[in-house]
Amino acid sequence: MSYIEKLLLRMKIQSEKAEEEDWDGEAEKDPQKLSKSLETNINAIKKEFEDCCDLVIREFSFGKEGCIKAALIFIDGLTNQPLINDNIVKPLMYDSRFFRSDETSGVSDIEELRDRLISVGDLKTDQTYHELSQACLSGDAVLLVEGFDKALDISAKGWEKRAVTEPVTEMVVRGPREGFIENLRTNTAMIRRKVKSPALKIRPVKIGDRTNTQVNIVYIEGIADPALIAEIERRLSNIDTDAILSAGNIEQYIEDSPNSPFQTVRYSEKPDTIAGKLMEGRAAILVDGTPFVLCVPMLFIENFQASEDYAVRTSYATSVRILRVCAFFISLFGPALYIALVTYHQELLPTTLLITMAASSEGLPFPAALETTIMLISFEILKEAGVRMPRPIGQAISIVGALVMGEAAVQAGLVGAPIVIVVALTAVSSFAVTFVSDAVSILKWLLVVLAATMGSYGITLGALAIVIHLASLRSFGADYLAPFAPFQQDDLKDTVIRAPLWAMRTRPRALHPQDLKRQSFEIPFDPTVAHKGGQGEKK
Amino acid sequence: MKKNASKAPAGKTKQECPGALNPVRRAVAALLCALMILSLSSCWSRRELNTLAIVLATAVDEGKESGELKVTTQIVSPGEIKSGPSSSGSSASKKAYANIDNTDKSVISALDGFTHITNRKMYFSHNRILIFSREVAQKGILEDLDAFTRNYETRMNVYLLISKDKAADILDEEIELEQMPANHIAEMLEAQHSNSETAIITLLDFDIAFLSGSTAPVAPMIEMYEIDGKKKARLEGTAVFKQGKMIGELNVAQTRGLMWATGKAERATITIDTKDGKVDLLIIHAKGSMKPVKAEDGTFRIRLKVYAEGDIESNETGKDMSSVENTEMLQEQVEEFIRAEIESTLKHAKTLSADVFGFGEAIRRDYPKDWEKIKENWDSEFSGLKTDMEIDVKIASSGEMGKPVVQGGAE
Repeated sequence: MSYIEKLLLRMKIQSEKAEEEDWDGEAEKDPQKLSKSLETNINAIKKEFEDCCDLVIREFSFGKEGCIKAALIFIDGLTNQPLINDNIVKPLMYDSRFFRSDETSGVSDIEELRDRLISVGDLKTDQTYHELSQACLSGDAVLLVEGFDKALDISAKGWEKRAVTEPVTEMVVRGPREGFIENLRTNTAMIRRKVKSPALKIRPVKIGDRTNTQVNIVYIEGIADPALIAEIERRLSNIDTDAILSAGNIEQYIEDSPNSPFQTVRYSEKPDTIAGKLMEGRAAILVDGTPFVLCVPMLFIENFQASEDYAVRTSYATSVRILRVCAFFISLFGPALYIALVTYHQELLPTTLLITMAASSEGLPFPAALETTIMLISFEILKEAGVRMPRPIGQAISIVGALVMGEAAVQAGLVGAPIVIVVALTAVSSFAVTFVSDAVSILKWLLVVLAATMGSYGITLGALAIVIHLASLRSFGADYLAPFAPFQQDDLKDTVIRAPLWAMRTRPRALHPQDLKRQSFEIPFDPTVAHKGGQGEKK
Repeated sequence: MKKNASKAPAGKTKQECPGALNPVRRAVAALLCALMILSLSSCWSRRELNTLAIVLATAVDEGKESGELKVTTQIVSPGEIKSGPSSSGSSASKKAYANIDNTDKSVISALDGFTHITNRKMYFSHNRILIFSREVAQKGILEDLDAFTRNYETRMNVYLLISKDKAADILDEEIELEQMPANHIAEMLEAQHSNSETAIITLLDFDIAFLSGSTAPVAPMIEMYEIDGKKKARLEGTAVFKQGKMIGELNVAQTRGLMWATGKAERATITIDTKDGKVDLLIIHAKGSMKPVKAEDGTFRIRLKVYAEGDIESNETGKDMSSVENTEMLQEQVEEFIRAEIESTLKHAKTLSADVFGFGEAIRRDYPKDWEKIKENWDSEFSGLKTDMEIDVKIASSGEMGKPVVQGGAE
């Protein structure tokens, strides 16, 4: 106790000295540096935060008879009010009253206040106005004390945030249900809870001259390629913009092929997905204010992988993978194939099917290509409207869409029943491969145009162009079509076929992991061997 | 790009390659390429489903004047198609097809003439059957078959039929289960595997037989008959061709003889008259093969092997057909039955001097050099050709019981 009294006394003397020195030293000082005068500091802050009514400057005095003047600065709404009251203001104002004041000697330091009085975990010292204002803006409370050119930066972050819920974009039946939220620290904690190792590195970067958005690069040391991390840092540091508002913004600045319809940066809303990708040698980019975490490098096959594939048994996971690949091809080629078949290659249809289709196309006013275009556009509009509308109106839209478009259009003889089926199947298929559905919804138009002008010949040309484009794509040094091109036999275990987890011995080579070996290859349990072994021991 | 830059001498790193195109020229070049591709393709063969007259069957008859052909096509009338259970009400009485005919000097010119009488383009890719009347067939159908083989739209798997009367009448067949006579006939032909009494012949089969030079092509025959006041079509017998002209017929038993010998028989029901009564057998599996054997004097014999396996379907004899002696007795009788059918075919073929079996082809395949010598007078060679028959019949099961359910069967 007596130590604190001494400290307070020293501080009092310091502050008295400071008042005298104030006018002498000011001219030589760096204008960014904090002044020893509390009033100067407060005025500087007030000037910087002019017209910011959410800034709170709480001036108070503490110590015996309130001999030390101090100010606590924070932004209302970003801070945890009970914490400020109980752990900062109360110890200073209440507990320091009882100290005696008979010891006065030596030089004091504001850091001693930190060490002895304030009961908050995360504290650091600021020395410039810039640091101070940044600290306030990121939710810290800053304590300025008369007579010191340093400020105590007390972490008191506490703002309204969404609870951790199941992500809407990636639903699972089996597997973890938690999803990332908009708060960066919560998100890193969720990854940290999956990978409890100091090898999980989290590097901070600040991007955006005005938004000052916190971005964290997360990777696992010893697995991720250091060149990959260096490349991510290089690309992030090249971003020269004043605003980063979401992970999608970052994605557009750092992706390899901005003009490609295919995304080369994977995103996920699920910590288990991201943790799994980190374990394969990828790096994640977390952006404050977004529940979506970016993950690079991305391979094409990731469009067909879901975190749930690893939670269910191999046979089922493989069948689902095959289904997704089929869905991808249906959603991409469905309308184009329909047009090609009914306008150029009627001979390819079975006779009975042709007659049925001819019957339904009897008396239709539009050619098949136009009919398909109309239906596809109507569907895209319905989809867009359904996504943006509030849920009760969204239901109305789906009813109108299903009845008016599907039923009434066919009944009125505007479009044929087969095209409704084709468009519906295409739409449903594209939802089965959500990650690639953006690319598909663009590329299917290319194929529709080619099919309408050149038939199956056009579809072949279009497919060829898409394959060539895919083969030319790269994502952060990885070949996009790997492990198919370049062919890598071992990595095929996690593609169309999802091999048993224990059989996936190595990490994907396309990602250049530092530690290729994931586990040793052994069939986990063989009852016959165990049985024989037991008998052998008895004998 | 980086590699090139590093290799280039210093100070020239950003120099452009002389042949390189700037982005605008590149875009123009790409556009021109795309336009050229458009002109190369089948872009103008675009046709909408509702501009097509889908032809399902074609029938060729003689015209009123000599030298003229009357071509009848059966086209789908899509508006009358009953699809699904909901729409089977009002339009039930209307026909789902239309038969359109045109008469001209040849099949092709008659088909071209259809443009004068219909708005839609005849579409032959789904033509399933091609019927010639007997008169046309007797005068020769080579020219017409050439047209159907040559055209890229028609298919080689179209079924060929010869009608005993007017071919166009077949397409007016009154049917209950199908909506279109063409489909009815085509599917009826496909079902003939279960009796092996009809030769199922496609245009391709006919062409192969004809182009071999020695084999006499055959085609199934179809005729109209009336039952309960309805006119219906029925498959009956086989037409035999030589040099593209129909020269004779095989009856039903002879047709099956042909099927046994050529290995095309699969399933058949045969009735054997034993001295105690009738036994019906279902042949469920049959194999046939022919092999030419060259004798020392240079003449050829044909060895025919037929293997058939069957079950007893019904038994009126009162004998226990599960016993070994009875089964063996029956097997012998069946063997004799099959032998008689083949011999009857062989005899008839020899009188027509038409090698319907393809014996000539078999010799050409195994002894190509000898074939060169005998092919000139193959007709006479065929008439004197000797055949050995090895027929093996196995009765696999007597059905679900041994002793028959007839009086005295319990003995």
